[in-house]
Amino acid sequence: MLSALNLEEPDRIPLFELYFDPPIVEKITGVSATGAMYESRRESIKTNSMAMIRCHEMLGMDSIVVWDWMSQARGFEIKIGSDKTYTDEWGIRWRVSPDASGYMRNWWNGPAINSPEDFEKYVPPDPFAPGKMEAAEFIVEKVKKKMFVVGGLRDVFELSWQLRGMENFLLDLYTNPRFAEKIMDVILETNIKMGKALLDAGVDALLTGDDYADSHGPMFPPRIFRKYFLPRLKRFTRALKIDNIFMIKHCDGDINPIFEDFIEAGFDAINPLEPPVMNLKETKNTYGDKVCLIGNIDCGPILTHGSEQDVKKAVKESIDNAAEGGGYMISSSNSAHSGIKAENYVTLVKAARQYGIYPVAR
Amino acid sequence: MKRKNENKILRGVVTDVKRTEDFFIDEDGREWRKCFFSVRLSSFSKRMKNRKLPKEIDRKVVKVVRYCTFDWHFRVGRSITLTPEETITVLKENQLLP
Repeated sequence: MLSALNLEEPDRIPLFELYFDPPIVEKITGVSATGAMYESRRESIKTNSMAMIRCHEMLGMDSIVVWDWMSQARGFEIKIGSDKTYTDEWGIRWRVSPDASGYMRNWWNGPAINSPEDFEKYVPPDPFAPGKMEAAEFIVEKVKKKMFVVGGLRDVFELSWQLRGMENFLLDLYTNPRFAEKIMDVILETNIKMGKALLDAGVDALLTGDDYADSHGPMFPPRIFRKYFLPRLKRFTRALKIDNIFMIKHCDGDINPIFEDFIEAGFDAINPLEPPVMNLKETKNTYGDKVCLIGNIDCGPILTHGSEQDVKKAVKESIDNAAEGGGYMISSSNSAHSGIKAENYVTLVKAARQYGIYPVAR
Repeated sequence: MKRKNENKILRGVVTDVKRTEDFFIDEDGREWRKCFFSVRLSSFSKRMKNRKLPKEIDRKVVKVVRYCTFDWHFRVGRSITLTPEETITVLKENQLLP
């Protein structure tokens, strides 16, 4: 992992995954697994974390991501109402209902901040509250010498729209930008503390989630991204890179118009390079000497419906396109979500381990 | 937490691959062919704050040995990183290390 992040050739291409949905964990380990945000109750932190660790160990992953939301501060309880909704520690409303595969997933259901007046009273979660980093501390303790532990955070855009609602927040950027910026700054300061708390818990690197793009390109013009989000991404990385740690940026979709901005912001690696909109070969040729690339194995048609041969072919193509010189890690193009075939993920891992060995110097 | 360290590692581009008759077979039955790579040095790896090469070795071509098996290993024009030992040898040979 370290060699790849340093843009050097390791002995083989490292295996990374952003997240394994509990049904995939269950299929791989054979153990009933939970682990969604609404299940991050105090009494289940250790069982959820152990299931996740077991899944990574059985697959032979080189890294594991522990998310800030995997445990809540002591005294904060997620309570699911009769309408199947709950409020998280940021005050955001979620609804629990099945996705296309039948997995009970949490879907955004309502904002925490309905007006500027609401914002005046708003209190974000305390990252240093007792118990908040319990999942991170537990996972670090269990796998520290076996896997590279990445602390995962949400980012300014995602939390802003979740706090305000997507339409409200996008309108705020145009009609009341000072209000939007106040919200973003509260999130930024909280996220910086969250990152410090994760580092205190012992994680090896940090990753920020957030999708600024979909398969058609960025969700707003790059000038809006550069005006509001890029400066905050820079403040985030500067505040947390004081220890010279590695920072990974996750962003789905066609990010070509803002790829260089992520490098400028100080990220060391970019994930998940969604195909076909992100051409791995071109991305490697253009940015491969500046930033580590992670991902590109299609978790759409290939991992959901593809054959074993399809998966092997995709892995080989990605290695052919990006392995050279180091600075590449294999992962899906988003996550091992509930819709993929678990056996396809196993094939991905086997193919990567078989075909991803670098030339041997001896 | 894992911090970046600054031990030097050289990067370059493979300009020629000469296959030899030597090889070994690994435990999976793959044949790893001994090759001499010509590498045109281009930069230090990202672990160095200053990745720019000193003029003594900038674009200089050096030879390294690699055992190769997959198609992508043999490709000319691909980027490559030297090992720490190879890096030290190159730097010493060019009086850039005592």
